[in-house]
Amino acid sequence: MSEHHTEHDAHNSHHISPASQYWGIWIGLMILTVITVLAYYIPLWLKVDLGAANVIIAMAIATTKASLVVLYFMGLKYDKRFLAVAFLSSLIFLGLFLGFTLLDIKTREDSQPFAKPLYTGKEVPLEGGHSAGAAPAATKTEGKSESPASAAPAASHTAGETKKEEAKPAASAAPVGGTKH
Amino acid sequence: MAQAVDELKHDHKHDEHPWFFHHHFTDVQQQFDTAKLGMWTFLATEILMFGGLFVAYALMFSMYPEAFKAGHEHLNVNLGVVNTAVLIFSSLTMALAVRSAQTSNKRGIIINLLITIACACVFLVVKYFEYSHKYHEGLLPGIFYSFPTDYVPHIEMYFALYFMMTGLHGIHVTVGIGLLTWILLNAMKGKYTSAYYTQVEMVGLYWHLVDLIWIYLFPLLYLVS
Amino acid sequence: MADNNQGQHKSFYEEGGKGIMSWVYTLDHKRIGLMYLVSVLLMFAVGGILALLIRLELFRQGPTILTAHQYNQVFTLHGAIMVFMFIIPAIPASLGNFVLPLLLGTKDVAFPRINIFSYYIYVIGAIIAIASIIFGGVDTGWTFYTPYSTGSGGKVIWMVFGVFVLGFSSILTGLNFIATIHKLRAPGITWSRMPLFCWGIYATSLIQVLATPVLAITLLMLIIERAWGIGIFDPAKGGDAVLFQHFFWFYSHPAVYIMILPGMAIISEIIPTFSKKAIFGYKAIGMSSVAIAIIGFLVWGHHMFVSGQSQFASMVFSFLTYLVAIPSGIKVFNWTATMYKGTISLDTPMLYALSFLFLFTIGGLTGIPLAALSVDVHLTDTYFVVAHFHYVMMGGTVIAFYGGLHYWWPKMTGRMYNETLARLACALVFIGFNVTFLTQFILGSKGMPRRYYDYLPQYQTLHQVSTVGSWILGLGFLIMVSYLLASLKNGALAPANPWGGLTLEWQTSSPPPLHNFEKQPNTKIGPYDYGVPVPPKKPGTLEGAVHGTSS
Repeated sequence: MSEHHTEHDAHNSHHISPASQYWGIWIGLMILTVITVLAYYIPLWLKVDLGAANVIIAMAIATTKASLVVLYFMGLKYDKRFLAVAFLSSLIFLGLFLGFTLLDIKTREDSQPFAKPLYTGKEVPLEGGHSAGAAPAATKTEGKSESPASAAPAASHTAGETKKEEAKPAASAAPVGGTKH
Repeated sequence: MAQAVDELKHDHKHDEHPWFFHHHFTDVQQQFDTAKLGMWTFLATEILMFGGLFVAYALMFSMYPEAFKAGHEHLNVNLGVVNTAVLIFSSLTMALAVRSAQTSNKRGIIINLLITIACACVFLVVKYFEYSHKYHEGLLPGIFYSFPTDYVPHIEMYFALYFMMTGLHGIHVTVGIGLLTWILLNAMKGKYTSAYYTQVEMVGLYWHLVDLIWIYLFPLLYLVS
Repeated sequence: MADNNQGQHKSFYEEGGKGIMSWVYTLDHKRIGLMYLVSVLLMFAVGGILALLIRLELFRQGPTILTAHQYNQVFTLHGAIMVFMFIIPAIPASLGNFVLPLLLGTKDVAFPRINIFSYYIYVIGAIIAIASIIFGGVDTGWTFYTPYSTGSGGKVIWMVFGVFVLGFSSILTGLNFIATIHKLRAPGITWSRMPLFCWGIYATSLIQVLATPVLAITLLMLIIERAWGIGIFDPAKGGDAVLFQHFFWFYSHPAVYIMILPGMAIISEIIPTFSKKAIFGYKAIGMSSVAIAIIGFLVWGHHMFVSGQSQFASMVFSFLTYLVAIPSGIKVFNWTATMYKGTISLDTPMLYALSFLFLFTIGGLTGIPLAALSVDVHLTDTYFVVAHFHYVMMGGTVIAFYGGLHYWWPKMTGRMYNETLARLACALVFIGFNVTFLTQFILGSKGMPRRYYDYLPQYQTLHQVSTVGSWILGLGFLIMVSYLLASLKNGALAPANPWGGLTLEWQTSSPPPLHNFEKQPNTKIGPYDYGVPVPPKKPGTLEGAVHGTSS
């Protein structure tokens, strides 16, 4: 096999990489795997908290590994440009998906995303008549206009997140569910 | 005009087309390129499908980092490392299998495919032990979570994502074993040479994608900190 | 091999073998296209009957023919059938499957086996989804919003799983067409000489491939949420119900472009053919299809203005939504400019194209107030949205679909239909449609909420007008069915090129032979080179290409 890693047969121009190259990539991938694990354990041993940097480091290493697999094992480096475009476009659209969803969730002011709403459906032990009547009221407003998350006042966020807390003020919030702002 | 028609008909009667050639392509090269384009497009759809889970993971992790940290401590990092190494090695042997096909090395294809299949099976066996451990401990998603101690709020959400992501990945590994076995049988019949190895290469691309997704799943699920 | 009696070519109906098995095992894109066509028409009929039931129920105040629960199930099933089983596969998988390889001058799509596979997946998915109604029904609306879909009774999992399966059919069709358009164009059909139908289908396929997988995973998560209570979409468990809407609309907004782009693609073929004039702004139309496909991914949040989404996100989505109006407007102006000073003949397909222009423009323009945040708060979940959606989807896509059906009917069946009845049916559909849905704009702006079983007395008159409109619409379709079926038996034999079109499908016989072309089609003439002198013939390769009579 030549040093240039290319070999053209008479009919087509399929690229054939030397076996040594594949083994080399494999060694690289194994080393990176070790680094990933070390990057996890070393801060633990040293008792330092890297915070968000941890995730960034882990993802950076994973992306390096993924690039090696895509470029060499899958041969994208030697293949048609359009295949790379097709592959990358999936990542770009995934980025759009994540980006716009985060855009919403990180900029909600009038409501606390993911906060426990005061009305919590079946887990609430229903006491008295008016909370029982609230459930049909919530289902009746069909369509997109209602969401339990939006109706939850910010105050519920400060309420502790333990399981018991959920059951607390159920009935009072229920009739508000569905109306907006 | 009659002549042209004859020419076209005549063309079809030629028996010199190899077995793998489909009549609606103009030549073998076009057929190969088309298959490859189709495969990469398919890989793009796979990424977007897994992507939905990754997006869900990112959002839930950003909301409940404590739960995810607590959840991952129930996982065995060693088993995760073993599975990562096994899958990466299987990716290597897969690439070598394709290379053997490119160089018409029948024995090479068979040996490399066998190793790849063996690695895939090892992966699933390890996964089975991990799953059954969690099942017995009650470390299950959603309403089935019943681990008695150390409850951190929303830890069951971590296990929901853990099972969905590894489960979908595991399904892909299982499908991959089926595909690998299929091309192994074909390879034993001597179907693949440097003139035709499209199926080996396509299954290879699929298998590398399975590896690729695991490369992300491993740090996200096992090494949360 | 087919024997060849000089000029009397066998069609693919005969050449591919007879009997039911020749259809079940077929790999021929034309037969698969026809199988899809029959299936989607069947689905349209079922969905249409459900729509008539909805309108009938709303004819009078109070309960009439359905209970409130049945009513919820009927509109859910109407939506799910029309969206997932009719309109998404309608144009690409049926007409597109039949025509695309012909337009590209090739023998088949890139992956014929995947093609037939996708058809069977479609059938299985449709059966599972419809089975849900037999075993208990679904009343969540076709959007499966949480918490309805996680909390309500009925067979939600069946329906959702059916749609999940249908998604794979859609992905495979898109994938197949992308590979076909990239790799299988006949020599001479370059990207800039490709008929605009192919551009439209290409843009559609891009969306199918990039968006549908997200629907698949969303529905899977929904099923697991319902079965295991994992809580990702459940605020009570720390999740977020609005998150489901993000997941859902990331697919389903681009999906409305899966629906409309092929419709626009058909219009781009019909208008130049019946105006006998080169398309105005070829590049603009082709590129605007791709632009719509891409911008379509950036606007899904406009379905969620009042969902509890952040105000900032709503502003961004609102702004981006306006951008979609640009490529859509480009198309409408170009089609209109194509007709300007053309030799217009008002055959049935052209009548549908003109109806499309009228209805789609209304549908598009009423989208603008809905994209405006403040106005939308008033109009959300009213009949205004229903009317807007139907003007775009039915007045746009369905009308274009029937235009395309009439345009290619001679090519597909080898028979001509009764032109007089066809024009009558087209007129009835046009009138019926406007009577049905124009009133709904008024109803909506007066505050009539959608999906309601009952209403206040002041809405009754308009509801009755709308219901009468639905009957006219139904009558139009009934006439269409009758003359199309009759044409199969008694219709005059169709010539190869009944409309004088220049695209390649008109260069082969009607119906085409198994391998589409008996001789290499002439690609020297561009698809819209009306009035351009015929390039010199190369002996033996092309014959009478412009006003093609290949027999």
